[in-house]
Amino acid sequence: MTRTYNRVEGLPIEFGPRLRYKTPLGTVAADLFGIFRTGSRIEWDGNNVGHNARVELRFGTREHWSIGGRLYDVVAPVEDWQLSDVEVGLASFVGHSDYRDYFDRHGGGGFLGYRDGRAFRASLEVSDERWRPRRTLNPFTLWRNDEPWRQNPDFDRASYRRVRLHSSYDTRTDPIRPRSGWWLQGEYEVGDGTHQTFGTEDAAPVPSSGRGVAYGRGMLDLRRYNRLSPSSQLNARLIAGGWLHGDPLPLQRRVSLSGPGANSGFGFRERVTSPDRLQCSGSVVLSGTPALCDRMVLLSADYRHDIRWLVDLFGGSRLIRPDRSGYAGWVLFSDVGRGWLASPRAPQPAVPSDAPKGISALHTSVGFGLELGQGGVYVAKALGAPPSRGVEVFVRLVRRY
Amino acid sequence: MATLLCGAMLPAGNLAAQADARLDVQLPVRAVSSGEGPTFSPRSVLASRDLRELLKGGFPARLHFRCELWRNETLNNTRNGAVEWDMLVRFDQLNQKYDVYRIVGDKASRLGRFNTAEEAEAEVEKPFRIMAPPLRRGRSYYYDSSLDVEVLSLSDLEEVERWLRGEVRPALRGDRNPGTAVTRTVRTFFVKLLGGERRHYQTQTGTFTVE
Repeated sequence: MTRTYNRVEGLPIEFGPRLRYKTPLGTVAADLFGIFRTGSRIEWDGNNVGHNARVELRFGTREHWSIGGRLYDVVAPVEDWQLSDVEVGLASFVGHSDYRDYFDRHGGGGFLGYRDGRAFRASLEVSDERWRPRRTLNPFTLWRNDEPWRQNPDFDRASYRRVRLHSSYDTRTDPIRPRSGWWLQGEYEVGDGTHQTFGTEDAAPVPSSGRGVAYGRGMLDLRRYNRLSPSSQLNARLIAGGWLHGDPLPLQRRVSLSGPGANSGFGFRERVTSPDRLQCSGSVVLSGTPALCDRMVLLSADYRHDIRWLVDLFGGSRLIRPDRSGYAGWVLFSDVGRGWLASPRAPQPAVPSDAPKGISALHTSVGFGLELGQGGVYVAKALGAPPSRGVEVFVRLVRRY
Repeated sequence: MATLLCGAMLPAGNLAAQADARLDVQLPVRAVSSGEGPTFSPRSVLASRDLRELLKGGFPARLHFRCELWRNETLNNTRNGAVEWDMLVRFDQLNQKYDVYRIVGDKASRLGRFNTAEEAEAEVEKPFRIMAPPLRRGRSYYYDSSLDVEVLSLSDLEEVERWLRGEVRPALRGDRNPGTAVTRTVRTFFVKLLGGERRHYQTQTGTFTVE
């Protein structure tokens, strides 16, 4: 679910009680939230209200098992791994640019979780839900308020039963500014559903009453943080995911990798080559340019160096300590990756026969950034692109990863 | 940018106090393989008017210290250990006194009762030495230290009392309050509105070689 300002909800406001109660069996935690969406203008109708309720029984304190259930009617992002919620919300509210796509999820489910109290956690979730497309609204923005938004893509209408297994292993020294350690996350999802409409990379969703779709999907996010010296770091991240088995993925579960949170030398939803290896758009570019890749892989490496002399030169706390951490630094980074379709399912006349394949089809970006506190200003350039394409300049409020 | 803007709106004295706020870490005169570790002295971290007013209003201030020992090797620095402890400052409305506590492990000890916030802060600023983790002779090390200053909300008071008795330490360490049946969201917003957001200070010592 999304909890930030966006072009299909405006501001989603959650309200309601959050309850915690200790029993002899364990701790009961309940979040019983209603959701009101400000939308284009404030009014009470079915599209502007939702709910998100969760009840959990936790056995133990640090190391613990938990079991619980959820009921929800929420707006969910298609991909949320690229930018943080606060960045997406601010980009929408201030700059009229929404870096995610969204759809309605309405249903419920149960989950079982385990945490070892140190680094490992795992959860298994079973849910039954209805998916609906969500139309673009016109919420207020500080700048460019009169301009149209990028359309939220037209997603499939479907009912799904999903089983999702998620686990992570986290040995980072700090979750915000990790100096060393591992952060490994893996997710495996099986979906079995019935579609009322079904879209592909070459066609917007069309009625397909009763079409059954069963898919397997996975995501892997591996991060390693290395401290080379008291003032420098070399970090790396490999993120890969997408279709694993079964039928082609529904539009809501596909992937892409353009923009400042992914392959940063390329503009968000920018189609730079044919075939498109960032969104995997087909011969027909669908409204809103949705993520359409079956699979993607992205490898990022960052060399980060503290700038202590700059902090000292300007008097330490007075000028460049936005979060009082005293951190300032520069970073050199590179992103290499591509997306692809597991198998061509439609003829693509736009694909030239001499188009690069395999490793040579990877898109590479290099960049430089100045970081103050938790975020920074970055400049990235796509390698191999004509000089006239210029560079991508962006601001992040949190580290790239 | 937001912080800079907020800073610009603060009165000059308040700004000066915040600008000087820092965490001082002093290495021992001699680094030996077993013995004294560094001393920690927070400076002016409770001096801002916002924090003082929140304290006076009954909101306890929690100071969470973390010290990491890093081994400095060519192209590979590894963390060799970490120590955490807390200090708690609260204003006793009934007796009009400031209480200062230090919590190490599960043990809370009251460092004293003070008539003024300045006296309480002076107690907080007294150097506190930790024991050095095991060090290997001839190796090069340094310390990375941080201090998080956080104003706790009024409804945490009961939890604070239990924490000081060593009963529910984890509840103030990131896990949500198990005994409070009201959402924290409004309280957190209220505390932030009053200027009581979490403040983070970070410092790193120079490298030293163990004799």
